[in-house]
Amino acid sequence: MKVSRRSLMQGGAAGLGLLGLGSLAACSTTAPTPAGGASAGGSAGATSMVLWTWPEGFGQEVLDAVKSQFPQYTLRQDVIGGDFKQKLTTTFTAGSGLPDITGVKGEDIAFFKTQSKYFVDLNSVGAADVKDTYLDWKWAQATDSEGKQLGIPIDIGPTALFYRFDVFEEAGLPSDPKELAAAIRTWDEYFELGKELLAARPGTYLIRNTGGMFDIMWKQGGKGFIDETGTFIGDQDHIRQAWDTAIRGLDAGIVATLQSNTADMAAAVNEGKLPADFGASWHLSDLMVDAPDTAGKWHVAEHPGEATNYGGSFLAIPEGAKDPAASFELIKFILNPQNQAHEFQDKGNFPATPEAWSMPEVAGPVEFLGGQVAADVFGHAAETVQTLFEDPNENTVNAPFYAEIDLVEASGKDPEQAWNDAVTAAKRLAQQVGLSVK
Amino acid sequence: MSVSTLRRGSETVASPPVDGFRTLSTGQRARKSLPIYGALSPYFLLFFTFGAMPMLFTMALAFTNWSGLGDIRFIGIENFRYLVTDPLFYKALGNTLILWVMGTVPTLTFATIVALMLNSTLRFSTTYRVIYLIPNVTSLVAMGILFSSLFSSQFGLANAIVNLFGFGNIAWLQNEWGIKIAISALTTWSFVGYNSLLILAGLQAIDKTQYESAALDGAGGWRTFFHITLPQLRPIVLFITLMSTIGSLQSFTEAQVLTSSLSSGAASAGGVGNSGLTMVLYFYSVAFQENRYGYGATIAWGVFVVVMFFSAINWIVTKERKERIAR
Amino acid sequence: MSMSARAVPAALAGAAIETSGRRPQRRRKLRPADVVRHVLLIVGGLISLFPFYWMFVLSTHPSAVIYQYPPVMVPGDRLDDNVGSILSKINIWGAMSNTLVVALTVTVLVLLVASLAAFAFAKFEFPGKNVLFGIVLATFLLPSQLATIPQFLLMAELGWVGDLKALIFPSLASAFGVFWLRQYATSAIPKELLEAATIDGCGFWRQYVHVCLPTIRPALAFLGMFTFIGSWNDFMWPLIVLTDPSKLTLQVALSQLKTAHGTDYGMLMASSLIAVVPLLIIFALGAKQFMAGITEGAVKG
Repeated sequence: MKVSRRSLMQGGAAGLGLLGLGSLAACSTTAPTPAGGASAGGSAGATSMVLWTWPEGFGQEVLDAVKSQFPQYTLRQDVIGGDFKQKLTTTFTAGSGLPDITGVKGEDIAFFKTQSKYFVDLNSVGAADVKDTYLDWKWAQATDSEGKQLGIPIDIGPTALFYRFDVFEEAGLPSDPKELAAAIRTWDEYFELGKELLAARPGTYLIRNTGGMFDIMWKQGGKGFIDETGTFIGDQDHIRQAWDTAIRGLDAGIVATLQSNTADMAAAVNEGKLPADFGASWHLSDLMVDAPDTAGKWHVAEHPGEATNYGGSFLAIPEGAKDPAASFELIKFILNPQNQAHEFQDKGNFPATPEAWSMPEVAGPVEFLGGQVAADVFGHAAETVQTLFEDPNENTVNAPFYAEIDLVEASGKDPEQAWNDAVTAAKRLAQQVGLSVK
Repeated sequence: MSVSTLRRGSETVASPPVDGFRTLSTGQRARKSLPIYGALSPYFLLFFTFGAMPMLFTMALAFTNWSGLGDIRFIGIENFRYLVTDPLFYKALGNTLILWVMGTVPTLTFATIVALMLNSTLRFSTTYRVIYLIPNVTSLVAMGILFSSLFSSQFGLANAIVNLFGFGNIAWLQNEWGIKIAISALTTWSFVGYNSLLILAGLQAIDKTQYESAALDGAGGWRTFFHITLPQLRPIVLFITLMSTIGSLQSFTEAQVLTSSLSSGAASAGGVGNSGLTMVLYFYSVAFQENRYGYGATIAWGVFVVVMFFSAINWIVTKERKERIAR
Repeated sequence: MSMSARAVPAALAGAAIETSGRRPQRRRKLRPADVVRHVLLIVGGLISLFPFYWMFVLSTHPSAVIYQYPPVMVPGDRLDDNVGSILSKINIWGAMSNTLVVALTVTVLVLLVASLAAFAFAKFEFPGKNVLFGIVLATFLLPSQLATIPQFLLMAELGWVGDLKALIFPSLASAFGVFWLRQYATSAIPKELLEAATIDGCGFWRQYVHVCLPTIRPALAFLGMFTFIGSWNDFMWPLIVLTDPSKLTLQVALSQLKTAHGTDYGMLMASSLIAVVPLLIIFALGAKQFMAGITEGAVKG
């Protein structure tokens, strides 16, 4: 049974009509004007095109390049603050005021893939021609079950270990990226390294928090909490192993227990008390903003186990855009290898096009990372990334595990009890969102 | 509904029908009432269009599993069945009630003290009032960021004070009560000034002659306070309590800005042990972060029932009071 | 339903912001109790002001200063840098004027709509009165966030998405406003005055204009002030409804400064300062105005 929101809303419009006729004559100056979405309009000559992004947006360099390349369009970048997905969802539901091109965040693509009717199938405007330019696994993330292509990758987020080589050197730990990577192939080796560091420099930790460690560990298992058939698998061995490893790390006493994205964490990074952190390539921007004074003292190396991917977003065309072919023309240009290389230089977004990796903007030394050629590490990570199946309900059912591991860390809850509680809570949720639970 | 009676100076004012309404014929009544309905219509048209309809629509969604996008499918009362056994909802309810007490009690206490002091102060009175209102003017989001620094474990001012007394650092925002204290501190700080102005208004409406006769009877400062001031303040205190109750039961920004999580799932929202998860924050995470709009709407029903329940209590308390006066 | 609220003393709003200037200024000696009281009030005032002050201090420093221990307490010299980087990123003056337009319009219309309804509820009997007033009370039992999505659908249906109208109309039906003004009007408007007006042949509307509005001015001032502040600081709804960069409100524009990567606290605090300073200026300038008008209303009765 389907509910017609239209009829309901027409009632609302009628009510408003009454209002206009009624006693509020004084404010009739604000009477309704014809609908005009953001994408409507367009002055003489150039067609105006609207692009929605989040606060990082595209750099001026790329926008200028668009301007000179396409005089027939004027591209306006609308920065959407706050919750981007919520904004996009409400606008889709309303069906008006949509942009010509919109960003879609990597973490939201799984949800939007279940609602692909709101997007133009990019295959219909020639996406196949550029497919080979982009990494296969990243491209596939935006392909729905029927082969519809929702978006073109903006960037990827291969993970690596960011570390302060000066601090490592001082503590007598391996400070060269290759040496370090070789010394920490397994998590247990990493925990040992952490103990050495702590002994050499009291109050200095290798891991931000247990949840963050668990986060990267379960992603290395190659499977998430829900499989392709819609079955909850979060209680299985691959998650349990990640859980146990994370608890081992916590027990080793090398976890700083700092909350992510807080001033506390940034302070620890500034003071060198958290001289290492796992992160996607864009973590570089975090460091540049949070700890500008530590510039030049960082390196990146491969972290224990396989690389994983964090985020990395897409550009897409909302269904109903006035000229999908034109939108796609712009997207193709904005996301070409050259512009992706610019974006890496600008804000550390690692290109989703391997071709860009050898361009000077990417392959050159990164000043903040002590002149290291970061592309070597991230490029390798990008090729070896463990790709995961992502169900739109992933966050709903994995949240209890994060909540419980936080409790173990913060209040010393028994890990076994915490695991059992997490599984129970997750199964309840899985059932409620309609997954099958064994 | 009885006509409310209010003390204002020594005069008791009621609100009688000024036009001998009940003696009129039906036709006359209708004609008389026309302008009244005209005066009410803007409010009610606006309310039904922009308030009631969207709200009813949300309430109806509780019977669906809508994701906020795409088709809507009815699933009967399944969501309600889940809600009544949902441990997270009860957790959120408990947190909300605890935060209500932790926020309202200090707010009212400090507000009363400030109001009493302002009431007997002539100099700089305006300046004080403006200063005490500043916290209420400043946006909660900005203040949330500041309070999270104040309560940060490494360098926050809260810990600087704790250190002064010889104690070690406390990880405020990673501990169940720490989170609640930080949230209540933010609430208290924002609302003391506002409420003290309301109480001050109540104080200034108290009939001064009562104080004079009390003084003649030889009543001391405390006795005057408990026997004259406090009883007279009762209506305003009840009003503020109602406002704070509704405000607290609906709060979420404070908790949202002071807690964070790695997962965007509702089950890890509100900080360690979900200790800052309020009912509306739960609604927000479920509906907007997890795209479970249908269940979110069901939580909205829960919020509605809880708020109704407390308003009813408030009503009973007030009614009893009136009856006691009447006797 | 929430009956207690009906029992609020009248004169409430008025006395709330009444000035000491109106009272007879008896010169008296400063007694020890007065000194204690002032000391306490000053301490409380400092606590009230402190986070605000700290916001100012942080906005004058580079970001990393927030991490210093002990915390910085004196202003630095980087305010212009921080403000400069905000100005280069968003159109703050445009956003400010949009916010002003919205807040002023909302305030004026809320006062109008609410006072009309409040007058009817306070002073007249009519069929359906109790039911209608019950509806007013019920409205404010529910948090507005609950209606966000359907409200947005309605805006889309009306073609108002992205328009400032979408901010104005949904906030006009203020249950608190009706409730509050009704409370005040009930006791502040003397029935003799209305009776006299009726005998003089004044109908409802003229009574509203000539008797009701002048009498409830203090309560209007109070409601107006808080409606304005609320509208100025509104965030969640405007964020969803507005996108066109030329039509953003201040809070929405400022939200564009917060990226997912790191937090530039200096800039963030400077932006909060920018958001609140105009409000404080209006507030401080208006305070005298409010208070002057208000005492007149509060004294008689």
